[in-house]
Amino acid sequence: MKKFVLKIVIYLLTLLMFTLGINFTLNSYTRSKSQFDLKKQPKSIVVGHSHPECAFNDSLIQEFKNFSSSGESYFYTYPKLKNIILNNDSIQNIFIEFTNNQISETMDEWIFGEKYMNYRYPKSDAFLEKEQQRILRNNSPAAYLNALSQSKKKQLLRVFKNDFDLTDELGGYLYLKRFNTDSILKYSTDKINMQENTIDSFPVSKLSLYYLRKMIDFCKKQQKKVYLIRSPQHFKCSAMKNEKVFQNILKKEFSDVEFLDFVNFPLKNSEYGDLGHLNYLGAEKFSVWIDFLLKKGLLEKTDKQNFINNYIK
Amino acid sequence: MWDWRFLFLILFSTVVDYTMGILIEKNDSKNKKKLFLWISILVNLGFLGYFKYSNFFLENFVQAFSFLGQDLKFRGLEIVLPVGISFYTFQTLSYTIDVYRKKLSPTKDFIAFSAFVSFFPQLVAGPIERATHLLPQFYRKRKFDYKLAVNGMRQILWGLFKKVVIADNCAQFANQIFNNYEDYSGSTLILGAVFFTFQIYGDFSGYSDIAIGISRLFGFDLMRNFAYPYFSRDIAEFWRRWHISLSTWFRDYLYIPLGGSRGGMWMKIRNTFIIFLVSGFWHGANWTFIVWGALNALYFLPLLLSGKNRNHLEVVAYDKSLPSFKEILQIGVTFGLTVFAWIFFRAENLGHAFGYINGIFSDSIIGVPEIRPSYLIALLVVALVVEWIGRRNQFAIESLRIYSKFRFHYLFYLFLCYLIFIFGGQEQEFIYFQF
Repeated sequence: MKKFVLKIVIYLLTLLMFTLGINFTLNSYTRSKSQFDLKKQPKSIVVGHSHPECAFNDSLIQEFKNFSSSGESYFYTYPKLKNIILNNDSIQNIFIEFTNNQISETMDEWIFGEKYMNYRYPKSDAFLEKEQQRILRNNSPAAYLNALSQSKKKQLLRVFKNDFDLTDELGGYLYLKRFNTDSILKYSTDKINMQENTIDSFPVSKLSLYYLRKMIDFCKKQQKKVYLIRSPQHFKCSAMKNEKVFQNILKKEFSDVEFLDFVNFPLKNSEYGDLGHLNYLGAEKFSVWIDFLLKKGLLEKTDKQNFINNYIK
Repeated sequence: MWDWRFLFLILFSTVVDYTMGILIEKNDSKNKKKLFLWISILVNLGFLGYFKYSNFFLENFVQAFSFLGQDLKFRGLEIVLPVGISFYTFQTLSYTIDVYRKKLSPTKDFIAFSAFVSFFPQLVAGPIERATHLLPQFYRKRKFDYKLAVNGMRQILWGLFKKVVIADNCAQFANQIFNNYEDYSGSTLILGAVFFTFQIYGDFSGYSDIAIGISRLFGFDLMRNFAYPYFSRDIAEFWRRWHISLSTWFRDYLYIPLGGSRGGMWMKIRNTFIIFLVSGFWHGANWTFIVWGALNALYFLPLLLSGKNRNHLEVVAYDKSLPSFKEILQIGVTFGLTVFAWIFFRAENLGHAFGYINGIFSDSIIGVPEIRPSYLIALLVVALVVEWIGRRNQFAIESLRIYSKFRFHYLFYLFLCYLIFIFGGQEQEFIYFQF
């Protein structure tokens, strides 16, 4: 029995070393071979979650690319953004979505929640920093192991197919065919009256804000112009209830970055898919307008928000 | 499905069969012995019939009336199938029948008998053990057997590989193709059926290997359930190598009591059909399983009639490394027939099965399949090569060491473990909108 147990222990240790060795090799190989070169070289890009994903129809905006992705937290946007910037010199302006729900503590779930990690981790495993790996491993070990297994399968299949073009996994505009706003306003309780219901304290995801800061610093280091933006959302969107806290964080922690607020962009209910997202009609209207603003020299203006507000009026 | 209340079901079956076993032995009257045997059979098959087949019979009864012009309203009963019921029912039945036949003395040890019925490694999906083989193993004191344990670990490893790497990956593509068969070309549908053929083998034989391997760690010896069935040269050989514990159960407790191959030709044919149809029905309450059974009976018939049903008793190319051209051809034909029959096994209903077959025999039968998972095909080739090399053993990697002077087999085990690790995770579908 002793011999058997000893052999099993030795075997498991060898297996662990073997697994770590292969994982390390696969990560290094993926990093060295991966391609992020974009076919159409954009001048400006936007990153973020589902709000910008549905709002920016990049086919209507000149030299612009939307890299947003549903349910993506800053934690996973950070390595993605680094790869995009480092591999595409044409990019000059980076718009990072910064909106009310992105400061929420629920963003932690978007980082190490099982279903989020399982989906996001295999796409970014090879590009995560050691610190990020540690955060995921410590916060959700079982989910991490499952995600790790998925990631290695994905990497191995890429090696097998010799396919390292990762540009199709970076995100993009989402054509939303949804018209739920009126019914939500009529039946759902998930809406607010901003003037009446804003709250003073709100649990915040420090980890998320930390990675937003890292993205900003990285862009600056690469001598890119970085802007925080807020895509349009319905004024009764429940996420807006933390507006005071949101503005406070913006002033205190991100005063060094210009904030371009499009939240009041006038849209009809029929141009929203729901209270937080533009449908394709709203996206078309908004994107044409953004294209117009950019061509009018928005990014060269000193008081950009005033310029935006004037046009909104 | 699992529910703690089903424990009472297995407990009740255990108590009934334990008691009937003792009563059968105690009573000298043949009629009383028969009565106790029938109580055991009716209780066990009654439970199985109720939980597994009620809805099937009710539905067909209603359909038959509708056919005759009587429109009956039918709402299916909400019955949950208890996990492992098909397996432990047959296992306990073998006990009372063997006691009745005086092949076995009834046990007085209720704990040992309960352990025999509910032995955890094989409770859910077999192998279906005989009381004559497994029950005595509970009486004796077991000591840790190093060689047996190492062998068990190897078998678990190979079983996990077949289940996690082969079956689960084949399932992904087989499901995709079977569920959307109208969208695919004939060649893709053939590939889908081939994937299902390997899925069911990997799944079922993998599970059996894991069960046998775990039992070995505890010092138990379970019967072999699969013996490289896809290397069979005819259907008779296939059925000697596929789900052996069930095939031999039907042979011993149904085919032989029915008269077996004694009697005239018609008797042989009748008994063969009964065995295959019942076997099909055992797999599930659906006409597709019955057709699958009938189809196998049809495949078997020519061999039976020509007396060639016991031609290939040894594994193919036993003394050689490679099969002859004739053997390759035989294996190919047998495999093809099996793949065709599996279509019925996998289909949701007969319409689905015939639609699928129709799709295969269309103009697009010749052409490149739309789905070509090259990595999976590579894995299948690896699995087949390993199984071919190890085909003389109880399981493929039992004596891999013989082939490796430099202990490369350890590296091979590590490789298998790694594949199990990376193919073992649960995939997450695209998170469509978090709003």
